[in-house]
Amino acid sequence: MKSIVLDIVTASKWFIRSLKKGDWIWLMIAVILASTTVTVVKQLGDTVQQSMLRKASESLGADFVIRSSRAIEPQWILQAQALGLQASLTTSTTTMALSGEQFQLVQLKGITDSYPLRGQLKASNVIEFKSLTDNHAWVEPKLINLMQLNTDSKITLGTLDFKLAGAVSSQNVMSPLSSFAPEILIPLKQLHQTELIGPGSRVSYELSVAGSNKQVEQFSQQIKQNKQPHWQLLSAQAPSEDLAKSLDTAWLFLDLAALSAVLIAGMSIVIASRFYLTRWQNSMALMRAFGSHNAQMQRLFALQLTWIALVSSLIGVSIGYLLTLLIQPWLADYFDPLVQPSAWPAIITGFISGLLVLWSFAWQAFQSALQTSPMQVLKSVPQSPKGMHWFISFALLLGLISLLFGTQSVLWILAGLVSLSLVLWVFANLLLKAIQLMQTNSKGWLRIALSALLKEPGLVKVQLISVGMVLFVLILMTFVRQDLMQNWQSSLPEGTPNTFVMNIQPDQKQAVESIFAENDLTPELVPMVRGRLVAHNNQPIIISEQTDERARRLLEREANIAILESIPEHNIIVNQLETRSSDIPSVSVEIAMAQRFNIQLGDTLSFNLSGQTYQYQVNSLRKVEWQSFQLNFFFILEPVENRLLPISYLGNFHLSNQYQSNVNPSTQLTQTLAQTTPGVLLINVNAIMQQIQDIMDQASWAVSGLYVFTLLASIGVLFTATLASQQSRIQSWLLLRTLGATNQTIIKIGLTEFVLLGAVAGILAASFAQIASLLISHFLLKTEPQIDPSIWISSILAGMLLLFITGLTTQWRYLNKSPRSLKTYTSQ
Amino acid sequence: MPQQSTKQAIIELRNVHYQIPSEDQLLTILKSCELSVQPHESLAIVGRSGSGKSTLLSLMAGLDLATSGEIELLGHNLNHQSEDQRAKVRAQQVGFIFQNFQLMPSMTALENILMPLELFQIENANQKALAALEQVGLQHRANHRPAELSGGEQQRVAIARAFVTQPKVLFADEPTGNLDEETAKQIQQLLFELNQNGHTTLILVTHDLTFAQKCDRVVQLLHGQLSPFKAESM
Repeated sequence: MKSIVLDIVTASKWFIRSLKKGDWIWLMIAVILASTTVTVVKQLGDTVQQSMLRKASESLGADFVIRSSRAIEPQWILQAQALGLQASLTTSTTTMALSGEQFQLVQLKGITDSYPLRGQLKASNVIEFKSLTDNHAWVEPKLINLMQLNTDSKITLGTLDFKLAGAVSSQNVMSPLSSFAPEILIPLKQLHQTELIGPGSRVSYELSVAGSNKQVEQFSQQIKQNKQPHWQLLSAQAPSEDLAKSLDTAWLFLDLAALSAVLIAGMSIVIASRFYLTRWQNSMALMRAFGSHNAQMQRLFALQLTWIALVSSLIGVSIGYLLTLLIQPWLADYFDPLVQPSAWPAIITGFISGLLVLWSFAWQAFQSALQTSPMQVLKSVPQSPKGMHWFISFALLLGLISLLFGTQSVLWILAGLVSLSLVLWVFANLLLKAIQLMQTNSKGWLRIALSALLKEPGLVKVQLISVGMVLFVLILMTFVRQDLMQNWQSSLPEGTPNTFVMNIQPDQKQAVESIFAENDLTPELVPMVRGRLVAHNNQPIIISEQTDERARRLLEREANIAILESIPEHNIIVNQLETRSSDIPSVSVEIAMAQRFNIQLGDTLSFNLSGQTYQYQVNSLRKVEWQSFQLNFFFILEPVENRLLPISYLGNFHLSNQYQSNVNPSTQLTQTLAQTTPGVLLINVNAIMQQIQDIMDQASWAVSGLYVFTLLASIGVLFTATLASQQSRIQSWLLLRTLGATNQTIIKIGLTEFVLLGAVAGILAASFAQIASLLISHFLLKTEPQIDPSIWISSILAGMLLLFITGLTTQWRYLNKSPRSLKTYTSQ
Repeated sequence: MPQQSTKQAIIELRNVHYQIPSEDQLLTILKSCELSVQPHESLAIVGRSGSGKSTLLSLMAGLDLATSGEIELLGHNLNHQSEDQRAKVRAQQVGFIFQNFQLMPSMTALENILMPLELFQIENANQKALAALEQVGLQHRANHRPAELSGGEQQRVAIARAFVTQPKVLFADEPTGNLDEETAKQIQQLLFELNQNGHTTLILVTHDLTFAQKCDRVVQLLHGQLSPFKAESM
C-alpha cells in the first residue's frame, strides 16, 4: 500500500515537471479539444433543444396535454398535482355568439386562472385589458371587427351576458384547422352556467400540465399506461407529426456533431500518442533495466496519463463553459424564449468524455509501451501487438458512446466506426501500394517526396485513416446540413399558401370566385366530400381494434376526401395499377395511410359518404408533403356521374399580410365572405407558418454553429496529424540540405508530401461520404439518393488544400532553418 | 577455460548458451560460456563487432534469458525467474552506462539523474542527484536538456545516473564508443575513479583494447566462446 502511495507521489511529481516543460502539450490539446467540444455541443444542444421545446410548449400552452371528448376525471388532476406539476383545465365548444345584431360562430373556451401554463396571452390594445373575472370575457382580436365590438359591448353566450375584459390572442396555433372559429375565453365555472353544454354537444376537454422534464415524463408515462380510448395526448416533444420529422433530423445533426467532435479528438489522440510512443518506450526500457517491475511501471504511467486526462478535461470543460457563456448573448437573439439549462450535465459529460477519450484512444500506445523489453536499451526489439488490447480500447469507446448518445445507439455507431476504420485501413493499404508503383516510375524531387510517404507505412496509414475520417465526417456533416436546410427552405418557399377557404357549397362557388377575383386571387377550388373509411376489402374497419393512435384518430373523424379526375401535380405517384382491373371507380391513397391500414394496389375500399356507403378500387399510391401547406388529401376519389355526393369546395392561396388602410386583408375577406356567402370559412394559417419558420430558423442556426465549431476542431486535428511524423521528416530535410539541396527543392518535396497525403485522404473520405450519403438519404431522410461527383472533387480538393495549408503553417519555420539548428531539433 | 569460482562471486556463468531463430534454423550467438566475477573486480569483455558482447552483457544483467546454462547475479539464479523477479534483483543494485547514453531527451541533466532515485523513492533524492552531478563536474549544467549538452557531457550525466544509487555492479556497454579520443580518455578516467571510490564491480564491454586493459581482467568473445584475452586473436 505504501509503495502505491509513493508511486502516486512520484507520478504526480513527474507529471507536474513535464507539464511545466510542455512535454504533454499535444496529448493535452487533443483531450482539451474533446472535452471542450463535448461540453459546448452538449450545453448548446441542451439549450437549443429546451428552448425549442419551450417554444413548442408555448404553442401548446403546456408541456403535456390530455385532450378528451369526455370530461377528464379529477383523479388525473390530483395525480398531476401530486407529482408537483402545475395543471390547468379547459373546456371548449363551438357555439354562436350574439352581440347586438351580429351572430358569429365562435370557439368558446372555459379556462382556469392558471391558463396558459406556458407562454402568455398577447393582449391587443383595442380594448382595455383586465383580468378575467365573472361575467367577463376575453375575445380574439378578429372578433372585434367581425362582430363590431367596442369597450361597452356585451356578448351573449347561451343564457349569460359577458362584458369585454380584453382582446387577446393565444400562442396556441398548432391546430388551426380544428379551431377555425374565433376564440372567446370565459371563466371555466361560468361555461356550465351558460347551459351551452348538454347531452350531444360537441365538447373538447383538456387537462394541461407543466413542470420539470422529469415530472412531465413521469406523468406522461402514467397517462400512457392508463390511456382511455377517447383521449388524445399532445406533447411539446412532438407538437405536430410533421414538425417532429424536421426536428428529428435536427437532433440527428446535433448527435452527429457530438460524435464528430469525439472522433476528431480521438484521432488526434491516436496520432499524438504515436508521437509519444517512442519516448515512452525508451523510458520504460530504461526503467526496466534499472529494476522497475511491471506493476510499478503500469501505475506510474497510468497515473501520469490520468493526470493528463484530469487536468486537460478540467481545462477543456472550463473553456467549454466559458464559450457557452460567451455564446449566450447571441443565442438570446435567436431563441425567444431562451431556456438556460443547468450547465452541470454538460460539464460532467465533458469531463468524463475527456477521461474516456484519452484512455480509449491512447490505450494501444500505452499497452504497446508497457510491453517494451528492457533489452530495448541495448538493441531494438520487435513487438507483437496483442489483440486483447483492441477489445479494451473498444470497451472504453463503447462507454464513451453510451455516455454521449445513450446505450441504444452504441451498437450501430460502434459497428459503423469499426467497419469504417477497417475498410479505410484496407483502402489505405491499396493506396500505399499505388504510391509505391508511382514512386518506381518517377524521378527527382517527386520520387523523394513519394519515398517520404512510404518510409513509415504504419504511420502513414494512421495519418491517412485519421485525415480521411476527419474529412469524411466533415463531408457528411456538410451533406446532412445542406439537406436539412434545403428541406426546410423548400418546405415553406416564398408565396406558400397561407389561407384556406372551405365549406363552399356548389351554389356559392361562383360568388366566392368572383369575390376572390376582386381581390386578385384565383385559387383552384377543389371539390370534396366529408367521409370515413369503413371497410377494407369488404372487411369492416373497427376503430376499437386499431392499436395505432393516429389510425384511430383518422377513423374517428370524417376526413376531407377530394373528388378529382387527375392527381394534383405536387403529389408524387409511388405506385399505380397499369390497367383498371374492375368496374368500380378508383381511389388514390396517400402512402403513409396505405401503410398504416395495409392497403395494397387493387384493394377495395368502402367509404361512408354522408350516410351512403360507396366502394372504390385502389389504383394508385401517392406521397405528399404534409408540411408544404398545399391542399393534401388522404384519399382522392374518381368522379362518378350518377353518384350524388354532398360536395363542397376547398381552396388555398397566399394572402398578403400587408395591412391596407389599417385593415388586415384576411379580416376584410372574412367579413365579405361572411356577408355574401354565409357558412364559407376562411382560415389563415400565417401564425402556424411563422411558428414553423421560427423553429426551423432556430434549428438551422444551431446546426450551422455546430458545423463551424466542428470544422475548426478538425483543422486542429490536421495540425496534430503532421506532428507524428515531424521528426523523421525533418531528419530527411536535414540530410537533403547537408547534401546541398536548395531551399526551393526542400520546400517542393515537403509540401508535395502533404498535398499527396491530402489527396489520398480525400479519395478515401469521398468514397465513404458517398456511400454514407446514399444510406442516409435512403434510410434517414427518406429522400432520393443521388451519386454526386462534386463530393469527390470537393473532397480531394479540400484534402489537398487543408493539408497544404497545414504543411505550410506547421513546417515553414523548419523549412528555412540551417542544418545545425535542424540537428538540435531532431536530437530532442 | 580455467575460471575462478568462489561462493562470493557477484556474477557466475555456467555453460551458458544463447541461440536465436533465424529463417528456418537456430543461430548460435553464445556457447558454453563460463565466467565468474568477484566483488569489486573490473572485467572487460572484448570482441569484434557482432561477436555477441552486448548479448552476453544483457544476459549477465538479466535483461534477457539464456537458452541454456545457468547465470547467477548477486546470488540469484536468473534462469527460471520472471521479468519482474529479475527486475527486483537489479533494483538499486545494478547500474548501466550505454554507448548512446540513453538519456531521456525531455528531462534535464538533473532530472535524468533523479529518475532512478525517484523510481525507488530514495530519500534526499535531490541532494544525492546534485552531489552526483558535482562528482562528474556538471553542476553548472543541471538544468540543461541532453540536446544542449555535448556527447562527453551527456555520457558524464549517464555515469552520474549509474552511480547515484550506489550499485553493486555496473554494466557499461561501449561507454566511449560515440566519443572522440580526448573525451573518451576523460570518461574512462572518471569511470574508474567512481568505480574505485564506490567499490563497485565493473563489467565493461568494449572493442577498445587500451581501455579494456585498464581493467583488472580482460576476457574475449570469439566464435561465441569466452576465453582469457590474447592480443594475437583480435
